This record gives sequence, C-alpha cells and structure tokens, in this order.
Amino acid sequence: MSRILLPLVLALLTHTSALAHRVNVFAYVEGGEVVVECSYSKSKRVNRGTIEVLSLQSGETLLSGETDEDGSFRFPVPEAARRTGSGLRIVLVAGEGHQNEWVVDAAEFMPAGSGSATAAVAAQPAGDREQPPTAGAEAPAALSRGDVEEIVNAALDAKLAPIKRAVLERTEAGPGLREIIGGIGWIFGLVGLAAYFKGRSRV
Amino acid sequence: MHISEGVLSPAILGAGAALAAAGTAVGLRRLDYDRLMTVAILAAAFFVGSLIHVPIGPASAHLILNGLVGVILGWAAFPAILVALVLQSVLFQYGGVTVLGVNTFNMAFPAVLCFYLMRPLLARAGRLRTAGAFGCGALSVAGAGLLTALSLSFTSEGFLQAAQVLFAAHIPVMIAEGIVTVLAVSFLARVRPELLNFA
Repeated sequence: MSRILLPLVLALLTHTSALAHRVNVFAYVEGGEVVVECSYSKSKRVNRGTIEVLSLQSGETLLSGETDEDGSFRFPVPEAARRTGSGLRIVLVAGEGHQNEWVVDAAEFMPAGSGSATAAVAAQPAGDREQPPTAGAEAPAALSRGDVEEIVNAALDAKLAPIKRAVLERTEAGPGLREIIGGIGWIFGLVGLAAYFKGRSRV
Repeated sequence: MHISEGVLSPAILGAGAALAAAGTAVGLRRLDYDRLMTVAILAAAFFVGSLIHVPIGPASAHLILNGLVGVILGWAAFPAILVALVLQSVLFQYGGVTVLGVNTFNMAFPAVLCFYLMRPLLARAGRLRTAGAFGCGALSVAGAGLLTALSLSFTSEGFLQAAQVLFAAHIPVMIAEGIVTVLAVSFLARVRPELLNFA
C-alpha cells in the first residue's frame, strides 16, 4: 500500500497548483519598481509563473519574467512606458489553463511633474498660506523637487503598505457564504421557473 | 480544472461552445421533468463541490463531482453542469464566461460517457454496481483532465505537459470521487431506487 501512497503524496506535493480554482495577480508601484504578487489563495503562492508585461497603449510586450517561490516579481518601470506615458498590462500565466491580469495605470509611476503638474502647482499656494511667514523661504530651498518627492514617496510607501496588504488579501479571499448560498438559491430558482412553465403547458 | 479567460483561441472556444450547446440540447430534450428537483440538487452539489477540499497529507484537493452528476442524471448532466459553471464563474470568478462552453463540455462529456460505459455494471446489484459506481466517479475526473489537457494543447503549454500535471494532481481526487460516488449510489439504491435509472 505504501508503495502506491508515497508517489501519490509526492505527486500532490509537487503539483498543488493544478488543484486551484483561479489565480490572483496584484501589482503596485514601489519607488521606481513595479511589484507583482501572484497567488492561488492566501497561503498558496504561484511558484515559477510566467509574467508578461505589455504596454496598455500599443499592446507590445515590454518585458517578461518568472515569479520566485513566494509568487512575487519585481521589475523597474520600463523606459518605453515612461516615455509614452502608457499604462502597463501585467499578464500572469500560471499553467494548466490558469491566467489572470492586472493593469497598472501610468499615473501610478509617472513623476508628479509631468502628468499632474497642475495639481501640484495648485496645491502650492494653499501650503504657503498655512505656513507662518516667519519661517522664511530659505530653509526648504536646500531640498530639490526630486528630494522632496523621494522623501514623500518613501513615507507613503511605508504608510500604504498595510493598505496594499489589505487589498491583496481581498483579491485572494475565496468565495464567502453569501456567494455560496446565493448560487444555490439561483439553481433552485431556475428549476422552479422551469417547473412553472412545464406545469402550465400541461394544464 | 477551470480554464481561465484569455487562455484559449477563439476557434477552441467556439468548438467548445457548440459541443456544450449540443449536449445541453440533448440533455434538456431527454430530461424527464418529474426529475427536475434531482437535477437541481445535483447542480447544487456540483456548484458547491469545488469548494470542498479533501485533505490528503499536507496538501488538499477539491472535489469535482462530475461523475456523480453523470451517474444519476445521464445526459441531463450537461444542463446541470452548465448552470453550476455559470454561477461559479459569475459568483466565484472561477473560469470565465467565454470559456463556459469548453469547461462545460470538458466536465460533462466524460460524465455522460462513463454513465453509458458503466451502465451494464450499474444495473447489477452488489459488488458489480460498486465497481461501476467507482469507475464512474474516478474515470469522469480522469476524462475531464484529459479533455482539459487537450483544450490546452494548442497553447504554449502543450498537451503532454498539461496532461501530466493535471493527471498527477488529480489521482487523489479520482479516488475520493470514486468513493463518494459509490457511497451515493449505494445509499440511493437502498433509499430511493427510483432515482437511479440504469435499466
């Protein structure tokens, strides 16, 4: 018996991916890099899934790669996407017919100076007004625009990390009781409908 | 074994949809409307079955239950599985709407085939029926894996690789479903024999 069981267990251990229902992919920008997280469920990561990054505008493949054992894949924002201001479509092919995709908008990685420059300028007077005039304009002048952006980005990345995690967990959550009971209700409702029409034609 | 959206080519999607539509039409035509409730119960079982994880060692596999649906419903397995898959794709995001035809055919056709292959055994009593029911449960899963691999044979993955992975992963599921089908059939034969029409 154990001679049969052992290969079975081994086969299961090495091929757990095929048993999944669907595959999740979630990507966000951290600094100048895009981080892609791939999973089948909360505990099961996509090991060695193929990632393809396409331009949202032209549809051409910008780069491709493979996820590591933890199902994550990092890549610097492609120069072509930065230049054209195009978003990224990230396609994950996990094998056995499992595939999913995630779109990263250009606004997520474009520097604030280019796309949303007007918003930044508009925000400036408000900031000036709040500052006491005695503080002077000299002190912050030592920091260039790039420096400020970097500091703000780092702070935001740290602050938003739990939110990213929460979003990730949401995409990984399986169906809840509501969906299950709703689906069963639908099935019996449809059959009731069929029975109604069948019964009426008989009368 | 739900194939996701965007994996298959339009030709395969179309072929799957046509085959599933044909099967569903046959199933609806042959359906005895006094047994509508049985169809609903089995569609619900199939719908929920894929959420039931069978723990085997440190890993787990989910049930498919297409063999059980086929053994009791015959051709009516097509409409039952189609409805369950529609709801799974809409409510659980398993598979997808465009792949419905392919997924339905992949699950339902082996079930119907097994029903006809095993019917001589199922019509007997005792051990032979047990063997037939086990065969239905197990072979329907194997057939579904084979058809899924065939559907994937025109993608980058190729038939052989997909078939190997799917088959290896589904051996425990085949055994589990064989046992589930045996239990269900022997229980029904004792309690509600009129539900089984093997004659």
